[in-house]
Amino acid sequence: MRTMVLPALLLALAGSPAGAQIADRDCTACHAELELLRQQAPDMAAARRLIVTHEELALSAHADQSCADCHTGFSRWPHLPTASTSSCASCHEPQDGDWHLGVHAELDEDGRPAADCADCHTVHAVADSLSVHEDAATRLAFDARCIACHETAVLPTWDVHRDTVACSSCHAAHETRISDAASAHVAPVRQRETCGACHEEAADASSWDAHGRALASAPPRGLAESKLRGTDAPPACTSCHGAHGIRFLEDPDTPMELVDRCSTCHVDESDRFYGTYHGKATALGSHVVATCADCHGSHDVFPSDSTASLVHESRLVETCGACHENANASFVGYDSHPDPLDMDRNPPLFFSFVFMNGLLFSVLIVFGLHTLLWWVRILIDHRRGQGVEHV
Amino acid sequence: MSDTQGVLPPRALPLDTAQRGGGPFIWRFTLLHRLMHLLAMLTFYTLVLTGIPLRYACAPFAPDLMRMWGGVEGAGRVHRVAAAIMVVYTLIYGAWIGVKFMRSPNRIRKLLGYEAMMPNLQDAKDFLKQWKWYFTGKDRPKFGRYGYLEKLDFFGEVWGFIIIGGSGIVLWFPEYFSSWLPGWSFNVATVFHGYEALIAAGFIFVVHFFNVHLRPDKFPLDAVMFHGRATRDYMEEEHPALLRDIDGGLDASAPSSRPRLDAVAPPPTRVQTLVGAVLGFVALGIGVICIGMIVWAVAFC
Repeated sequence: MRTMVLPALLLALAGSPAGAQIADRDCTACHAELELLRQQAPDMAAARRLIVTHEELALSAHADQSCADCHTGFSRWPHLPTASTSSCASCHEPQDGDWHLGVHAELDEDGRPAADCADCHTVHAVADSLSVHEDAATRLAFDARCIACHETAVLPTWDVHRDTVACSSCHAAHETRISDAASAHVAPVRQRETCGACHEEAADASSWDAHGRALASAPPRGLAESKLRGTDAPPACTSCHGAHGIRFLEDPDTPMELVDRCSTCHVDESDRFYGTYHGKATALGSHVVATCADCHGSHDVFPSDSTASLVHESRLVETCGACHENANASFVGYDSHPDPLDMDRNPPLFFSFVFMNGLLFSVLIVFGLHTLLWWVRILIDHRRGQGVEHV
Repeated sequence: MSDTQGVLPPRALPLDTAQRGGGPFIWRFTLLHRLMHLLAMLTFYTLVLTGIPLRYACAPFAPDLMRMWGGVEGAGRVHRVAAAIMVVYTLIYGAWIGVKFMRSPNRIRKLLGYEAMMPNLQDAKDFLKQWKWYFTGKDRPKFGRYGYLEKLDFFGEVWGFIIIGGSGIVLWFPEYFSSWLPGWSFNVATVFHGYEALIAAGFIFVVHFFNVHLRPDKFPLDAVMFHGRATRDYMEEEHPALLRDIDGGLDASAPSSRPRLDAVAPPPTRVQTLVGAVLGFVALGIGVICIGMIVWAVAFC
């Protein structure tokens, strides 16, 4: 019965004058009917793509638009050859411009872009993308579309940004670039701006400390290159905080992870730190003892000979005193990154280290031999049948 | 063993070298000696087991061992409590030795005499004799009440107590000590504390264990320090000079009245034997595990 009605509807449409504005319900008369569309489309998949429902449109950011705002010349049936769907860019020009700068605009061998508007926004159920910052459902929906392709980029469960910050907040929604590109939003030199969009205070503070200044004067480089060490690759936010998998400060693994990150560049210092009580207790998961940032600061790190540094000799009593009440000038003379083999750095330490090693090895050698030879003597006597009697 | 009655002790655990031959027994260690040794054992083991995971924080076993103590802070608390107990009993025992010395009718003999703990020329001779015996198999030194090995154990602990205890207290109260010690002294104290502890653990768990329990002629256990007495057979082997002294001790010219008092001891009861064996084997086991951990850590870190 129904199959008889639908062709009649099509014919009715065909009679309407070209160019006349038609109501959306005229469109959905056909475009909500899979069975009808199936007869016109080459296959079922194509037919499904033609389905558009009122509900879908009503919930989208385009709820106020009519079908004809984007799809012009479709008012007749059969649709005219001149009928066309205007590009998203016709309204969203700046976004289109940004998208063309990003990696998703690059064409594959079939001439298709890596990801076009619809791949992220869908076709008709386009959400208000600004609501990714407020609406968790929208954010998760957008992120799910990123993760559909970037499967390994999903944030681990302990990540501070998981479920609260959208992929696009850091990677840019339209001008998305390869993370290792020097021009990416997550490139070291742009991180203060990208992360600083939310973490304003930290970004401001770190703009003038030793790391920040080195970064500001560094040539643009990608994340991959920034994993090199030294002054050519000064640290940005992610160098210390990580990117995917940033832990909460209270996370039991945070102290060790931070020391590990500092040690990427400050190798000697961290090795020597691990020789101290602070270092060993940190390695064993203590949250009480001092790690790098407790003494050197986090976004206000300066060389120790700078008066701005928390570990400048004029500020050590105050810095150590944060934990060690009654710390005094003598107390802060403690070498917190000792190298027992460096005679010039700390002579008393060097000589006591040499002395104690000497004592240790003397005792081990003399009494090791004393023990071993005793054993041998007993075995020899036993073999000769003298037993253990010696008198 | 049910037929062993009368003077022969029930040799429920013949593994105990101190009961070799079955008797008769003489007194070897007083109750105070044994109590001090037991306290020393308990505190030393606690200190070692709480200290090892910190010193070898990089070792694979360290996090688990630390967790057993309730983390670094928990281990630190247990370590300090054990240290405080050690300081208390050591000072009390030191005072007791002082009192005994002052009350002694002949202080010179008490301090330097044949039976004294103080090292003397005879110890140096015995030490050299021992090495000669290793190579020639002849003329093994005949030790008295305390041979050089016992004296080493004793003074090793005194030395360790001073070095480890002193550096430990400095590290316990660095803010206080910094008012009259320079900053580098905390670096030095850390080195002294850790290395002297390593020497102590190495000496006890290798040298002391071998000398006392593990050498083939005493294997696997000598519980004399737990029940306090040993057979004459055993003394003939280990401390022949003392036995000779005990036998001649009825003579008025003997250095002290001790040998006469020690000459006859009741055999250890079954319970004493059992307790001694359990204590000994548990302690041996933990000690060997500690050495294993140290070797593992040194190889790993």
